[in-house]
Amino acid sequence: MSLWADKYRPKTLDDLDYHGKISNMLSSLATSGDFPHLLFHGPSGAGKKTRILATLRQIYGPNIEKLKVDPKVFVTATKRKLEFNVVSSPNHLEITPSDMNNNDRVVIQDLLKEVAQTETIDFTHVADHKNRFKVVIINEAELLTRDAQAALRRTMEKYSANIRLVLVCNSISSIIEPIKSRTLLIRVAAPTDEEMGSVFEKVLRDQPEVAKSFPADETERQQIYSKIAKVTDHNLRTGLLLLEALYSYNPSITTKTPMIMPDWENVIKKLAIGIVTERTVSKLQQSRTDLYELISHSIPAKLILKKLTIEFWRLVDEDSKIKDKDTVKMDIVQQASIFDERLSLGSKDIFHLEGFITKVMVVLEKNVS
Amino acid sequence: MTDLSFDIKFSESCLSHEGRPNSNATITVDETAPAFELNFNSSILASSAPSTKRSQVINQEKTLHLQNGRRISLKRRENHALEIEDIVKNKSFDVGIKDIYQSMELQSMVEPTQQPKRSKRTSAELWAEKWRPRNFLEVAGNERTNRHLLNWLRKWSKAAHGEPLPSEEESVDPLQRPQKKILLIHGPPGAGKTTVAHIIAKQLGYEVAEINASDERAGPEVREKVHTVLTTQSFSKKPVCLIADEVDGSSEHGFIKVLLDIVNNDAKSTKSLHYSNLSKDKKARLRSKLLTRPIIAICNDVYTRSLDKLRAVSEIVAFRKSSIRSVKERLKLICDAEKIDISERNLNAIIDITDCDLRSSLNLLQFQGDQLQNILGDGDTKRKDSQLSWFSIALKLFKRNTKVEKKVQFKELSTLLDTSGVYERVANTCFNSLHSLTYQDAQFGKLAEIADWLWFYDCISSSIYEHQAQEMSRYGTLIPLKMFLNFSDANNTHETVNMKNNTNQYFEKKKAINEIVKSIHSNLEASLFSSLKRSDMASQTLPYVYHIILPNFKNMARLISLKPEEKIKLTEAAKVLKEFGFTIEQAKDETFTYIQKLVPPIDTVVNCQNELSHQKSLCARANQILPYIEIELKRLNITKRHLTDSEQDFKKLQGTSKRRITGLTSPSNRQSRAASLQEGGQTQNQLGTSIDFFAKSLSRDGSSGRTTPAPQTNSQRGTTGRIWVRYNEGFSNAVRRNITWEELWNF
Repeated sequence: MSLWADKYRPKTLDDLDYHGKISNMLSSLATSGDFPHLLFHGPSGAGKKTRILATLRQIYGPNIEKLKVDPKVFVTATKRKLEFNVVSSPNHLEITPSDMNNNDRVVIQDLLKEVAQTETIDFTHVADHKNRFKVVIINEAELLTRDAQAALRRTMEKYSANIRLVLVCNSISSIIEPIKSRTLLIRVAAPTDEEMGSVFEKVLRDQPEVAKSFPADETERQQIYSKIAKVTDHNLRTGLLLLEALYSYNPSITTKTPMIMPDWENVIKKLAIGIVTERTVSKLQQSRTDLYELISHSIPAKLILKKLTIEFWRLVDEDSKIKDKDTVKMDIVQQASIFDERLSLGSKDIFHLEGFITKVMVVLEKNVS
Repeated sequence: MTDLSFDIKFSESCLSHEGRPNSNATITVDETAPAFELNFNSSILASSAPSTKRSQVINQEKTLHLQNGRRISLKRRENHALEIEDIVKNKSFDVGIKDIYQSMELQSMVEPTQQPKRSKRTSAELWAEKWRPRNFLEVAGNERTNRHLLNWLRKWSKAAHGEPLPSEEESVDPLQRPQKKILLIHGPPGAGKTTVAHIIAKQLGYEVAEINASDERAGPEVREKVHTVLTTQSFSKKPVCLIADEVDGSSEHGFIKVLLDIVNNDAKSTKSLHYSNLSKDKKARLRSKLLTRPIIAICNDVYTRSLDKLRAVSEIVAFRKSSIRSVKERLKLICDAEKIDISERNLNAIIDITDCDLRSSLNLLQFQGDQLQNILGDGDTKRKDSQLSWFSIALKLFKRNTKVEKKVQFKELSTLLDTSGVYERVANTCFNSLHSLTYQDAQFGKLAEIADWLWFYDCISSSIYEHQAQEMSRYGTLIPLKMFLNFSDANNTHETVNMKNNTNQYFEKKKAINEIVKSIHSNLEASLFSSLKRSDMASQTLPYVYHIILPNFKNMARLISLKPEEKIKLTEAAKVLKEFGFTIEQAKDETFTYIQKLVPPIDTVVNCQNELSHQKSLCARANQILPYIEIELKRLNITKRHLTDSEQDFKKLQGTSKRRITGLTSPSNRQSRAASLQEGGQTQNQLGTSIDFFAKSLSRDGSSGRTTPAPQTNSQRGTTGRIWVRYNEGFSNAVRRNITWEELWNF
């Protein structure tokens, strides 16, 4: 636990820094002794997982922190062996469907049934019949295939005596209706600038040695904090990582200290500038190599598309040669959404990323005086 | 002699027409009585005996009175006999062939009417089968290779028949078998590979056992089958020659492995049988593994991957397309025999259409014989699918032929793509060379159009792969055609069309990086493992972690004089490094200077920029800072153990308020302790040799009692009063337990 993001991760519901209403609701949920299936959704780095673990801690006590990773082996229908890791504590377990590709239905069916059909025998709680159920957390639930989700819906009702599901996802758009209706939806929004700032402040206050490298003036610090929040898209986890990286990288930090950007974001920035300034076929060829490089560094294609779009917006705003900026921006977003759909339906990322760039060039070409 | 042969022939032909009215002799019978056949046969035999000359018989018409009073008239059809001499006249042969020819001549004397018999079979038979060569002399084309085959198979005579070899040349093999035990014939279809293999095997007195693609050739079944074939005797007492046809299928790995095993076992046992002294029964066992029968494998494409290993151990014979001349000769021969009048021009056309494929020429001749004019008029329809390679198609796509209209060229390309079935590779090549082409385009209109078409292509190919919707593949050819419409230009040459496929290279890289991320992720301890998403690792987490574990200091050159706050950073970095399971290893870079590297290589994941200067600066930073982090890491390991130990002690002291001896004496604990102390010592040594300035600063710092291990432990012992006692070490009751001082003194 030496990364700040982990070290200062709140453990109990009382420690949580923001979203007081959600915390209150969760704590009343936890004290009631029983709770429905839950579906947490919200942007990444907002604190969904932290809240889930804090709730579970309130219910089960510190046992929940005794985590271990078990490799599990499943045999699929085609006799192929499938190995993936399950994180578990005595009272809960966690699975990530992206580990199991297209076989998630089998895994969900087998694993959940296995868990659901074995009742937990816990002698400490025999008297009050409390906590008889086990909790299964499903990370990245939006990646569950339709089949797997369909397999879930009956399981959720049939074994509700022994099992509680907690689904975690970024967006509920790909979660099927029946599951939404069976769960209690809890949205955890991204923290605001101030909320992130207060968390950062708390971290620095705890480490006086570290705080020395930051400006003593509070408003200056706040400036830095909001800068971090902006750069990281209000993702608290990345924000904390960035804060730590800044501290580690720079002898001392002022408001003028440049933010540390991941390399791939720099590449995208350069790419966007190149495309806006120079609209030629040779530039397209060059951008293809860049795109290949990004994809091969396992940066998700959708993320590339998103960042590119944002960069284009920014550049269009700055460029004086472009007339009618609003339509240009709208057109770019429209193209981005078209190609975003293509990326999620198709399988050849490079075609669509390059197609997007070509279309953006067309849009720009029409509107440059 | 002639009399006798005629007799046999005649009776045979008569006997054979019971079921076939269309055969040698025509019978006219009003109504067949049940007892008829037997009588009839005997009567024929009786009546045919006196006739002497063949020519007389040919035009003879016979009326027979049967015993039951019926009357039968027998009429002989005319024979279209082909004289063997005619065939032979056209060709000259080597000495080796002459022997065979002589033996054949003998045979033909015994059965002089083999050829006519063939020609008189029903017309329902496929000519391709009917005129399949029956002996070595009839095989058209590839004479040299045929002889090569014959030679190879001849070398097996000693092993298979026990005959001495005719040639005097020294054989490498102790059994005087050919050096390579498998003969691999490859060539285009219709060249006569299978036929030749069969004929030669028969000619040299082998029984042919064929295993072809229609048989089950996977797994143990085929192993069993091959072994039976190779080791048992046939009824005819002839040795067996195994012909494995069509071995280049994609699912033939099992079968090829069987063949390879046989060859390898044979090589091993040959070696041990003849070059070492073994006991008798062992020898017998080995002998059973010897290969004494020839194996001939036949395929179309010798360079498929499944044949890689087989190629190495087998004698390879390439069949080329038969020459036009030899095909024509053969066709003429058949035309004469089948009484087809065909002009030279038409014959040439057929050969041209079928690309010297004798089999398909025969098919064409048989079924289109009367409509040959149509073929010549419209050669396109009967043409076999032409096989152009994907790159020549891609080249054609972009090369605009200015002589013909665009429409015409479009149609041509369309058929080409439809028949070739390689649109996927063509489309990928198109995409790869999109930007190097020369063409006219205003405001990226064409390119933007292609972007949408590529989406269409993606849809089609994914539906083919995911839903097995093979019928979609016909639409796949539209994409290359669209490319033609948009980008074809007279100026495009093979230089502008980019055949190189670098997608693979990136794909490999992606795989490698994913593997690294996966290994980092799976090494994390449980709580981190659950809180870090693997999909986000490369984009969100690792770039920052990289900067955290490589802190940056003001003057990297002089790291001796670290300020206390900088030391904290170093410690933090080492902690994170440890938590993520990174280790530091020494490696050599391309200039053979030692550099420090992080393992797993996080830097390859994090660095996306290709510029050398960028990479170099990062590398330099890592190089400078990593040695110190390594030292810090070792120091952490030591102090951590001590800290935890002493913390435990402290707690116990508080808890009991009595002075107790902690009997923490599991040997492993002590060993690791010793090891860590040694490590500490080594670190110091290293410091002394390589970077002694740091050591100095540390020893100055040593007043805190951290860097010099030996005094430190002493001092700790002094303060906490720990005593190490062995309690029943090595015995079954060697359990750790806490005892009070009182107990100890009362022992």
